Amino acid sequence: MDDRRAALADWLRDAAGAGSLEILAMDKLSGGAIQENWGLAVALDGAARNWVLRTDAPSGVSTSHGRVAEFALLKAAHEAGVTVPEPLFLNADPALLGKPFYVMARVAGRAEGHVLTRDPALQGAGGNRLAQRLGAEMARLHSIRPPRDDLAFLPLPAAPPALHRIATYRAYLDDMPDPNPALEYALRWLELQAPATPEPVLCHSDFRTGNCMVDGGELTGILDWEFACWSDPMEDVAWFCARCWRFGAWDREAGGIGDREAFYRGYEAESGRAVDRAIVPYWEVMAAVRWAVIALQQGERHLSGGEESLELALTGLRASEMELDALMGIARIEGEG
Amino acid sequence: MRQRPDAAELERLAEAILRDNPLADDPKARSYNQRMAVKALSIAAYDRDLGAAGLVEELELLTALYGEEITETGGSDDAARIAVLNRRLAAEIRTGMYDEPPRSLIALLMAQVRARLARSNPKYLKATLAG
Repeated sequence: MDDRRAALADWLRDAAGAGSLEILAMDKLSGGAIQENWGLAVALDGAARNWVLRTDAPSGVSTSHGRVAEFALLKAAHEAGVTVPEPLFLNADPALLGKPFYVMARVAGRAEGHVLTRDPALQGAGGNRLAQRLGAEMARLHSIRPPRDDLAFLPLPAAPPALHRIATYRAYLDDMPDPNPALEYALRWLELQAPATPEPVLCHSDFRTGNCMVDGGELTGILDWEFACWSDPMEDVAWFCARCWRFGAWDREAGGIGDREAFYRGYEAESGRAVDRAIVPYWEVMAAVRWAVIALQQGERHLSGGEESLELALTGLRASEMELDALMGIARIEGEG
Repeated sequence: MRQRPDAAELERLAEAILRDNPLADDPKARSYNQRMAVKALSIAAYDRDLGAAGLVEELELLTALYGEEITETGGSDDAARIAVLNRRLAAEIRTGMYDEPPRSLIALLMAQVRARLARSNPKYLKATLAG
């Protein structure tokens, strides 16, 4: 490890174009089943810097981007003015650490939904201010449109994004031993109502309160870009507002931290485009289905005998919360709820 | 159709996490594990109290949807028959047979989801239906 650490220090020094670089501390950070994050404290030409080194975890899921692609996404978002940890250096060669990695600036704060939604600094006006800011951030992200040479690894949607999602979730359900008529009903309804999405944009696809790093009520960085793709901008809007991501603060419809209209105001002021209020509820049904299917997949990891875990088993049981959200969401849209 | 794991497995998992908790020295992890164990045991207790009562309601609702056909459905008991019918229903919904859903379908789907939530998260069920 000491050899690798010395080699890493040399590589970082050259990547930074510095005369000297010393790694003062290197600690594994919590979180991330898909990737590993290491906190790096370095002296760069004698000046203290705090960075994060991000690489793949041994059990990374295949649906997420690798670190090389994630670095490109982070750079594109950063250049578009989205508040993200500044991407610094990429090493795509697995020779140094055994797998590709990149380094970004370390930002202060916490990104835990259940903490942020209870943060006294984010009650009332503070929460609405952050919601409005996040709306503007999302609008900046959505200003990135295909084609983009730097993001050529992202496939352009061959079908409307909604239909692509539906096919994906059905395939996931087909891999499970138990049938789920409620989710099948929601998916069929989503299929019949699917919007065309003539102008896809770069969507984060996991833009929720738990992926927003906040320090003292202020946004310091939007994290976890591994699911970003070209999609319908209202899908991102709905994922942020979906009931399942409010952590029990259900009346604060923008991520459990603020009013939905505050979030929309930020989005509209920055983008100059109206949030399509008629279609967001559709995508909130999609959000509920997505999280339900993910929960079932997590549960199945335990049930199939592959990985005994009470946590996974209980996550699987949570799917019904989103099934109820989906059925009630459809009923509301149909005017029956 | 009751969602797995069943009561016996939940009890086994709860006991195992309390017994073998590898992070027992970390108060945060210990408290998280204890909360999970309590949750698992409460679901198991619900199952033991309810017995087969939940199946009766689901079979009635499936009968309302499928009519007398239900008696011809294979399966050695109610649980097996319900599983067969749910598989059929899921496939039929996907192919578009219920694009104009009858009230009996919506009633069945809502009852299934409500039953699962009454078991796994009654607080969420109550708050959502009230909101």
